[in-house]
Amino acid sequence: MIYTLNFYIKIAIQNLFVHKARMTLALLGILFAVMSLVAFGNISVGMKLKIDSEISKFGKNLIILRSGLVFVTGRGARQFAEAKTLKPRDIKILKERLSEIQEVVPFYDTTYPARYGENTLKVSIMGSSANIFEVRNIGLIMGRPFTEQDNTDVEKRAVVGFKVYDNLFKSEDPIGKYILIYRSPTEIIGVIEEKGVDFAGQDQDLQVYIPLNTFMRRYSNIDYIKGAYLQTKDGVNLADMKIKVRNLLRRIHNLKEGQKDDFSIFTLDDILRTREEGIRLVSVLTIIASTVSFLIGGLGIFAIMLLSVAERKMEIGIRRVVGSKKKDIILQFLSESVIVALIGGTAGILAGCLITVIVDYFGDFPFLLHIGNISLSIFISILVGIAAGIYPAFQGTKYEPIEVLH
Amino acid sequence: MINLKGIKKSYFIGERELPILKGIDLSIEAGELVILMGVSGSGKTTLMNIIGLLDKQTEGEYFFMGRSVDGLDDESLAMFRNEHIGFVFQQFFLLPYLNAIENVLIPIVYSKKNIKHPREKARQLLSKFGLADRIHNRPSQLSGGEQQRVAIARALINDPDLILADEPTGALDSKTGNEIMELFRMLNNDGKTVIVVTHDPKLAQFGKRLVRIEDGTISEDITG
Repeated sequence: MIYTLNFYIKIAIQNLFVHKARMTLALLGILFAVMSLVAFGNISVGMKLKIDSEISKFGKNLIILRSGLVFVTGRGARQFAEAKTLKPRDIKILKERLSEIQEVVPFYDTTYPARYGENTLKVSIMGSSANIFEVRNIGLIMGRPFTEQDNTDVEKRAVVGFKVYDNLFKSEDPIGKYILIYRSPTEIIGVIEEKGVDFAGQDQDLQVYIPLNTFMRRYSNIDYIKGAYLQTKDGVNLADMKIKVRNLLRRIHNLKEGQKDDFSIFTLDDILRTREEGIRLVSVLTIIASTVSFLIGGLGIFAIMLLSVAERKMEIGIRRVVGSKKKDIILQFLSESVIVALIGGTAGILAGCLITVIVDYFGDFPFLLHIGNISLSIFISILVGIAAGIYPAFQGTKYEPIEVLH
Repeated sequence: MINLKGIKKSYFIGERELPILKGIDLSIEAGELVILMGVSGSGKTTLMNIIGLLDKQTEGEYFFMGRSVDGLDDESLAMFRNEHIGFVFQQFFLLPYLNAIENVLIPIVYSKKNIKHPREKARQLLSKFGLADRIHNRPSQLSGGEQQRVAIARALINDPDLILADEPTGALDSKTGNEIMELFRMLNNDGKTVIVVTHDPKLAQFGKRLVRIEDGTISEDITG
């Protein structure tokens, strides 16, 4: 049996070499089907891992409160309408009234050019309370974070992102140097480790963190904030918590029934979920595309096998003469069509992995293999090979030796 | 070894019966070298197909090695052919994408005989037929005579009791044809039973027995 199967495989492969172009065309469908399935699977697991790691990097148990109307998409939060109604006092009340909240980080964020000597860089200014470093897991490679004392004293002190330091200072030691923000000289007291782009597309390394009070009184003279991070205690249900925060904040803002919220509340989960919906849509499209490709591939193999069986009448005849049974003929042609499908499948896996490598490189995702999709591809390839080969194989048994040999 | 009793074979074209064999009685013993001669249309090929278990008679009885083979199904017939009969054809029928030794080995794939070291045996057969340096050549790289020798090696690989050759020299020039016939004579001397089917009167000299078929019956059966 082993010898027999070995022989069939050998014959199938020798036949492939005889009809290279024809066989290549026949297995293209399978190749594309498997390629899309494997590439999509690999990329989506890589993406998911990256999202997960971004979320854990962003800080755990976080509810994000934003003033005005903010629309949450898979690419982060987009401001639709601004509001000036959110005050630092509101955040203080939220913390006092809701025992589930452990930390609150009121903030005001905006973009503004920062200057050092001749160099100017457009940076994201983040004015916040001092606990942001802890709540958002922000680690420093130089200097120190600002303190609540700095905030109370409205000190013009800043902790800057890695690119800010790198672009403005090159190799110079930045600690104790002054950069100009809003034309105000601001002392650099710390540099943040390299963090890259966050889930919302915001370059973390272009951030400049300064105390919120300093920002509100000494730089821009405003009394409202853009939002706050609310960190709950462990084990608190974030969805329930969002409702509590909303109800309380509506009361603080004296919103009557029927009036729209002048703030938005969301969690990283909301963002993750919209992104997963995106992935799900792509996955449906991938399934459709690869199903169609498998069908086309199956038809291709079917046609080639019919042709091959018809061309090899003599072979079938002589095999039958020397003792091959009908089931041997079926087994032989079936193994040929399965081998063709499997070669297509293998090439598809390789092509899919190649696409993964390219997409992962440009998308900065970790390279992962979706073993499920890879084994599924092999399995479907075998099935398609059998389905496409079964009819031609049975056709082959209809040739009687005395008809084809004389 | 072969015992045919009252073998008739007819084809039916619509309602019309077309008799090909009209009652053949023939016995062939082990170790014989028989030339089965007849012109085209005489029924010799049909007779060969029946002897070779590739076709079934309409009437009559066929005993192969003392055993009736009339009721056997396709599978049993295939096994019977594989174990007992080696076939040689006018057109050689070698598989074009296999080399000489792989072609010789084809019957082994279907064999239940447990031939020891089939590859070594195939190599020996090809060497014996003067093809030692052609073992890895494809049919397209071989001359007609060489291809026929490979086909004969294929017929012998499974140690058959009977060699059945259908116009084995038909596609060869007369010199090569004679060499092939000498080969059959040699195999017969080694103890194999050989039946050669031909229309060519010149081959009669190679046989020990001549059976002439004419219009579906045996018209002549000469031993000597």
